[in-house]
Amino acid sequence: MSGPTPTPDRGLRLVLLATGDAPRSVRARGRLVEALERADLEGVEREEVDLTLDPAPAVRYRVFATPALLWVRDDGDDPVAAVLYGDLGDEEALLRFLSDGRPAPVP
Amino acid sequence: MTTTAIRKRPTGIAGLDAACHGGLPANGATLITGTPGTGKTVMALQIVANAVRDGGAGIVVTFEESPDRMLRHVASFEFAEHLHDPDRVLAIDARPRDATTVGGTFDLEGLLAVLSERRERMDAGWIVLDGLDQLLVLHGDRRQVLAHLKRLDAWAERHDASLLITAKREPEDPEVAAALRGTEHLLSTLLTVVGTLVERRLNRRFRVVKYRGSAHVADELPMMLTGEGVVLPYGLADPAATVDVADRASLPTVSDDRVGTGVPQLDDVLGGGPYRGTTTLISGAPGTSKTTLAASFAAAAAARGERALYVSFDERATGVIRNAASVGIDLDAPIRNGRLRVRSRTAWSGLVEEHFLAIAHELSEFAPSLLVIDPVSALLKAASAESAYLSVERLLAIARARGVTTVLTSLGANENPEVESTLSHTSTLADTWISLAYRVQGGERNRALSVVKSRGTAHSNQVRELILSDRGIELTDVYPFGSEVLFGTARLQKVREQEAASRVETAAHERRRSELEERLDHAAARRAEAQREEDRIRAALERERTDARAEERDRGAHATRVHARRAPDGGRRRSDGEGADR
Repeated sequence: MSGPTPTPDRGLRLVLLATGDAPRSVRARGRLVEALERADLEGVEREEVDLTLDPAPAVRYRVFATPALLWVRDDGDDPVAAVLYGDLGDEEALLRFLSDGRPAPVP
Repeated sequence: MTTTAIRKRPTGIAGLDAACHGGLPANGATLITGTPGTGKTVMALQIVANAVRDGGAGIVVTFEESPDRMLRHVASFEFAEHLHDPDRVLAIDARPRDATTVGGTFDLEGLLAVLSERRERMDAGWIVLDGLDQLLVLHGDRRQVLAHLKRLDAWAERHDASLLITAKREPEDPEVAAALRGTEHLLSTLLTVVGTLVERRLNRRFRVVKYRGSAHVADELPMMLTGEGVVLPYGLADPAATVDVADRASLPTVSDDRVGTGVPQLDDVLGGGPYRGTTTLISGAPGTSKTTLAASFAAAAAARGERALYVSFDERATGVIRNAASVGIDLDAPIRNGRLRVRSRTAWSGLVEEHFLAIAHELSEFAPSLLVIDPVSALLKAASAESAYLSVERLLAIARARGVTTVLTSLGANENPEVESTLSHTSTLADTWISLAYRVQGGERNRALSVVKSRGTAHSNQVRELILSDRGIELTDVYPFGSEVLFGTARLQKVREQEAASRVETAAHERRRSELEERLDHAAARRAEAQREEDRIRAALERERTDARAEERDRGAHATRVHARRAPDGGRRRSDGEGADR
């Protein structure tokens, strides 16, 4: 399933919603780091939220399945530009997701 | 090893609690599946609203529509007002986003983290996951879906929460069907609602498919959406569900009290009238005065100061009142003083269950001592996925449990096969069966009444003529004539003939009596005259005797004097002495 593709010029940041040491969350955490390296996106602004400690972002982002990787923007009514559910085991889907949110190159 | 009974949380939906024998699991998940538009969400929200009404709290997580839209959809239900208390109802928008991709396996730990925190903060007993299938179908892996549900159930148990999960049962959608296959085996409590079209009407059926560890009604039950929300009329009103037969004190009281029918002669036939709390069936062809007799029952109840509910299926209320008034039965006055309610219902306009519910509601709210359903056979015209007989039986059971005397009218057996079937069925339920019929005789129709049966009453088996006049209903003894009985004009003519013959005979008797009395008088007069004659004769005889004695004495004295004169001394010696004749 896919929706409106986030455009790089919107100032997006990555948010990983995880739940403590749940196996899928642990796997997602590791796979995200590897994928960011591979995609040369290590410098992208990112944040990890442990919902077991602070569940409020799940409600704010309207994302309850975990782990979930989000492209988030701070402006607009809806902060979430795109969501990738799962433990990021689908490498191709992950790289495509990251690529969609890659910041536009500085001219 | 010790076992503990399953703890339950009442839903506040009477019929549902009855079907589940007290409520749904207090610490576990219940899956409510159903075809679209059947009321799964309404049921879940109603349960939360009922909890809020009673001082509890609930969380509703929506996966299919926004919370605002969901609340708008249920705004017309009476319970909706309780869903707008922000301190005790939390609605969370959890609709999967459009811009969503799946990149591996996921779980619901994020959802549970939110629920754990909010449940504790609000002390929410009920948690609804509405349309969870919308999220689960993203998985595509059935085993993962089952694992999620298992995890939800375990969470509910650990957090002492009643978790309601609604999900569509959509066999036409292979994706949904595949994702949810097997869920029914996983959870210990599964409810289903299905909607089918019966005669172009949506007919909702509810079933407790399983409820492990708890007794429950496993039958499919009709479900309705009314202003109150979800109603399971048969679960709601099944007296048998609350009566312990072993406990005689809890059984409905059997009354020895008789209730008058408004027709004194009929009361006499029935030993004073039917027993209170029993069912009387009045059957007959159209026009045989079933409605009038039923109206008489109602008017008599009102006249006793009791309340009566008259449900008319064929006739408008005003028609029933007018027609009863034409034969001297006043329904208007008891309506005005609040003792009588006449409700008119159109059989074809609603499901059988809707009619049932309306009547059951009136029984509860108005609390009449008499219920009339006129005619009960009309219920056959109402649509239903199941037999209308069940509705009738349940209504009678409710009435009996409340001590309400019930009068049912029905077309006679000869009208059509369907009616015959109704009559046959209803008559077995009735304690008293009054049959009305036409008797065609001498070129006219007359109404005949007979009591086919009356349990617990020695009743006459004689057919009587029912006569309508402006004084109401009267029963008259028919005229037995040879091997048949005479009705109407034939009866009247025969009665008049008999009266005339009787008058002639009486006159003849009178004449003979008068003659004899005259003769007796004459005889007495003659006897008196004879007596007088005898007295006269006796007197004459006595005088004769007296005269004779006097004459005898005179003759003796004369003889003495003659003898003395003829004596030699000329009677001197005697004149000197005794016997001298001077």
